[in-house]
Amino acid sequence: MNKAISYAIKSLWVNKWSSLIAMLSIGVCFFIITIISIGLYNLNVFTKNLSNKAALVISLKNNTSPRDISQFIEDLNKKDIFSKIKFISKEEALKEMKDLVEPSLIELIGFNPLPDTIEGFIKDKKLNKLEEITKELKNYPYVEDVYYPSKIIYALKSLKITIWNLGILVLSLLSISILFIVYATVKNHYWQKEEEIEILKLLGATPSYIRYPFLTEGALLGFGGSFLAILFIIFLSFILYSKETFNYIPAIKNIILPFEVFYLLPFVGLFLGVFSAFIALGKIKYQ
Amino acid sequence: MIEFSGVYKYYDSLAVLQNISLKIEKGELVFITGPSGAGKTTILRLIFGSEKPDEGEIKVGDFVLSKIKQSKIPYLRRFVTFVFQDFKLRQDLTVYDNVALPLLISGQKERDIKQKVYDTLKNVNLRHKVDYIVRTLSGGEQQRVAIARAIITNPRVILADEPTGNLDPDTANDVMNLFKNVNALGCTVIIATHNPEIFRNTPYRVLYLKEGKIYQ
Repeated sequence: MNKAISYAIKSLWVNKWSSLIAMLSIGVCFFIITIISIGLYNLNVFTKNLSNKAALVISLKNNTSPRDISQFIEDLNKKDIFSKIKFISKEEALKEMKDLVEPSLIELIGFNPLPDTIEGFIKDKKLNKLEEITKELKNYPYVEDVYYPSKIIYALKSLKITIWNLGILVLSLLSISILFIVYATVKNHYWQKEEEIEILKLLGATPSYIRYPFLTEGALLGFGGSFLAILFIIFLSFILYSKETFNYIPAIKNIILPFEVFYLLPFVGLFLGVFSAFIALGKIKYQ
Repeated sequence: MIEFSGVYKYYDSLAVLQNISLKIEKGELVFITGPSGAGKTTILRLIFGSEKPDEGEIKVGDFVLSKIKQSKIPYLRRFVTFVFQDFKLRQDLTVYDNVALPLLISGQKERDIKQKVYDTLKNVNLRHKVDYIVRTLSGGEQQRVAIARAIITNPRVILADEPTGNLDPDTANDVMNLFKNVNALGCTVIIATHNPEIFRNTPYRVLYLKEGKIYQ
């Protein structure tokens, strides 16, 4: 184990410039991957929060008795559609309206034109069944109408899906790039040592004995690259979360940097490095 | 120890070995001779697992080489070692590092390796050159390093392909004596050579190869 690590470090040191360039390229790829991942994560949180804030409004018929209203609310609670249900009586609604509209105008009407309403905050997992839910609610005898800002939510959802798909595509391409960089570097080092490896084979070295230093090399490249990416992210977060940036772009405050990135990234780097080094070596043949 | 039964080997439909059947017993020293292209090296390569026979069967100890899996070849090469005409040494490493290599490969501990390397180098009269870089040594010395590397793991069989090919007569004689000493310790030694001076007046068995056929 120690021998393989020292052998791999020696090999990287002998080819220090190509190894450094490979590690930097991997670092940049990982940096972009992390930024995109953080972006997608934040987009997810944002759209979730937004849809939670958008309520479905059920206006009730004028003659609905308080008993029917409580029964209806009880039914809605049982349905596991809403995360939160709020009843707004016509009196409360009028009171709220008076805060928004000139009271004299309301007095001119002479009666309370507003219906009793129920605000239901739809659970995220039920958002795709919005139309069915609306239809079902409209069938209740006490329901006058159902309103929902569906166009905005649908637009947001499709935007989210598009960004996610693009993000995943870029992430895949960058991951493949990392695989290629490690593959090319390890393969190149393997070719440089072809004579040495031939001697090892003649002396009875097993495939794992031959592979081990190269797999370690791949692991070091992947790990080193991911470590560089973490340093870039820390540096970037210092700039982004500074007071000066908040003054210019206040929205930065809302960006969440998941801490998991810092311990997940080195593992991903290690895995990709070892995997592509393994592919680069192929089958060790003796005949 | 080594058994060939009806072995054929072709290169591009040209038969290099034809219906070779032979037996080499444990502890024997055997010379394989014949003109260039007769198939001497091919026989050694077959025993070493570098080639597979196209027809027939080869047994080396418990290894059946006609059916051997790639994963078993490293273990065959700890049982059978090879001394090459061009030595196949790591020119950039010291004598010590080269001779220690087979022990490192077989996973022996550093402290055991050191003693074994010194003892083996003493046997081939190279103890004083232990820290020399191999490329600074003469051809005869490099050949002795190659022999030391081949014998350090106490193999059952040693193969040597033209081991004296690049050496002057005195050095060649020294090298041959080394092989005889190794054989005296019970190791089977097979030497391929086209130089009749090496096996003239020796008590050892000589196999003649001509046009891919063997004459004993």
